[in-house]
Amino acid sequence: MVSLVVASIEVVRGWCQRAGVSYPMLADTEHRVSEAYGVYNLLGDGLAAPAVFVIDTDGRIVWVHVGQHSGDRVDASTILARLP
Amino acid sequence: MSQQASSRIWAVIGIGIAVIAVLGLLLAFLGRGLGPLAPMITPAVPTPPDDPVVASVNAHAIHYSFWTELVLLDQVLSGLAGQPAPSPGETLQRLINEELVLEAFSPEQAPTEEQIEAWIAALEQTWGVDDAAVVTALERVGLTRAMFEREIGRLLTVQAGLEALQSQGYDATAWLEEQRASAEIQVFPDVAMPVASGFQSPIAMAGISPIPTPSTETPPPTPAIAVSKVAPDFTLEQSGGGMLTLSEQLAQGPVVLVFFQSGGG
Repeated sequence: MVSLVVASIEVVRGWCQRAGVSYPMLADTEHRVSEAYGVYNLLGDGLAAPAVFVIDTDGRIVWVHVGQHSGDRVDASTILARLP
Repeated sequence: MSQQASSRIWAVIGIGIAVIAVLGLLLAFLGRGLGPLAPMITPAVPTPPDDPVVASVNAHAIHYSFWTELVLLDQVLSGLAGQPAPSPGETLQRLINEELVLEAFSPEQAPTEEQIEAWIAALEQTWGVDDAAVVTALERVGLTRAMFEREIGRLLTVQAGLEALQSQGYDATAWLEEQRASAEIQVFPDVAMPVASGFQSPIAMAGISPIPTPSTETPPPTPAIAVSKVAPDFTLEQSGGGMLTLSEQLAQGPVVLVFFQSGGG
């Protein structure tokens, strides 16, 4: 799993340290990747909307979930069921 | 949150204070034809009967009516100050940030009526208008002087909170970023988006050519990439140090890419 946040790398590191995050968290500082995936500012907050993309080894997106509000996320079992 | 986003949000929270402290730019707005015979302007989006919650900050709800009032007020005051008005989304983010400050810092004393009137008088002097002209501009969009006074009082309270924050040695921007990351903040787009996308400037609705200002509206977002499309490759700096490239990860197996709204998940 790889996570992205629209934030500076300093802020990302601070969050990871506090939360004890074990997976990579990436700093999409310029929000270019969030824009490329079409999830930037969907909620009008200047941030990435909560979203999950499952990508196969050919680089194709096989499943997408985009949250309609802050708490709209999918659980791990749903994601695991979608892995190719 | 990126430095740009936090700077923008900080600029917006500052707009509320800067608008009331602006110097220099004389009014052209009221001088361009608003007067006692100018038609009444009504907001583009009326308040739903149940006055729904448009956003929440921890236990505090921001209601539709309060938000749209503040959007209109921002439009009027920005016009008087000759500054570009914040977008409805930016006004909402400002309210969220202000709520975080108000939750953390309660001043010993609320602003007095004299302090509020002194601020209003200073603003009117800066804008080169009298109080009657300000009241006219407010009433044209359905606002009142009492509402203006309440908002000035609220902004003065927020300002006192920010000063207390800085006097305790906090960097306000960093503090706000941390608060936003740890707070329970919800925006309800089904309620907010119709206003954010459909709201029109009272100035534009009056058909009056405003002082030319750059648009502050964020371009409409493009839809998320659909299933079966090629995932855009990227390289970004990662929390553990160094850079991570998507295509290199895919060489090792499928990837679950998770976008978080904030570091709180």
